[in-house]
Amino acid sequence: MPHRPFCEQDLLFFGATTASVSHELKNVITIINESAGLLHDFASAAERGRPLDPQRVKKTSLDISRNVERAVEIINRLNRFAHSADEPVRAVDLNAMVRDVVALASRFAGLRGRQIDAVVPGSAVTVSAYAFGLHQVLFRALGLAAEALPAADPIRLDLEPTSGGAILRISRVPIDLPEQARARWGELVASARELGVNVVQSGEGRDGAIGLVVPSAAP
Amino acid sequence: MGDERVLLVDDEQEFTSVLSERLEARGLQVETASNGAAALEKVQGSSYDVVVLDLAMPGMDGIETLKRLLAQNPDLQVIMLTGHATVQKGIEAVRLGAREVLEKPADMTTLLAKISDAKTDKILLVEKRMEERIRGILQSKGW
Repeated sequence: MPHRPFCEQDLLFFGATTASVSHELKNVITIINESAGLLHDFASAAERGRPLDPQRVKKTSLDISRNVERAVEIINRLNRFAHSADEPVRAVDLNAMVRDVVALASRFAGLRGRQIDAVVPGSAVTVSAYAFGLHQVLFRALGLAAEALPAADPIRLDLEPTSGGAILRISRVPIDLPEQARARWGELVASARELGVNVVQSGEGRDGAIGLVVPSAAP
Repeated sequence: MGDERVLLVDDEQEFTSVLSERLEARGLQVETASNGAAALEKVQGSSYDVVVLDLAMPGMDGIETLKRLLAQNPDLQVIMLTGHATVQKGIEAVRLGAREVLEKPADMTTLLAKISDAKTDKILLVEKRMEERIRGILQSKGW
């Protein structure tokens, strides 16, 4: 696959992603900061003669450790995403990619009161592809689904390995897309085509689905 | 400082839980809400001195919640808390009536001082409104 030229859409996607991840990270750091402050409060109270409750101290320090792990996971996700643009084509584990993109898209979806349920196989599903492009295509497809589904419905995403690669299927997306989702359809199809990914609709009426057919090797 | 009635509104419940414990240890009365709708409901039934409100929340965001809170209770003092506010969002919040926008993590001493100032201003505001009402009544009686 030829090296992709730098384009505005790529930059916007990269910007939106890093802004969202840094916001998420700031929230976790805020919790760590308050928990550390709480430990300081316990120590100050003990200095004034109030007995220290070991269970409260233990719980608070465990809360800090848990949130540090959460922050490390967010940073690792950001690091994987940043490296996704390194090479035009490389081995991509779709299983891991789906988890990362869903974690990212869930924050955007959550701000709109939506939930994303992803079902992935237990083992790696590896294809040869432009990782950054695939991230972007899946993110676009989830955004389109968010526009197309009724307000309270969760977005359901399945990753299914096939003999020729894999299908990423988003269920319950009506075949007749609402106007705002139709506007995104063209962008999705065009960006997917660049990667050799076919975008297909299946099912009937309100029980439709969007499938991203990912070949095992990029053209 | 002390006895201020504060409502903390943030979808990160772990954050509101720890912060409320720290504020309560300093003598404040704190309640929490995890979204804008819950905050509106709480404010309707109680009299808070200050609302500390997150800017980015799922569903009804901080800006919309701020608008509705102030429409419901114009004397309410609202301090916005945010992870990464854009300047534009911060200006919009202040234009809509927020006292100020603090960045997370907020320093405890600063937050306490802001809450205390907000309560003082609220008392002055309520007293001023009371005086205006009394003056209005007196004028209507020919004084």
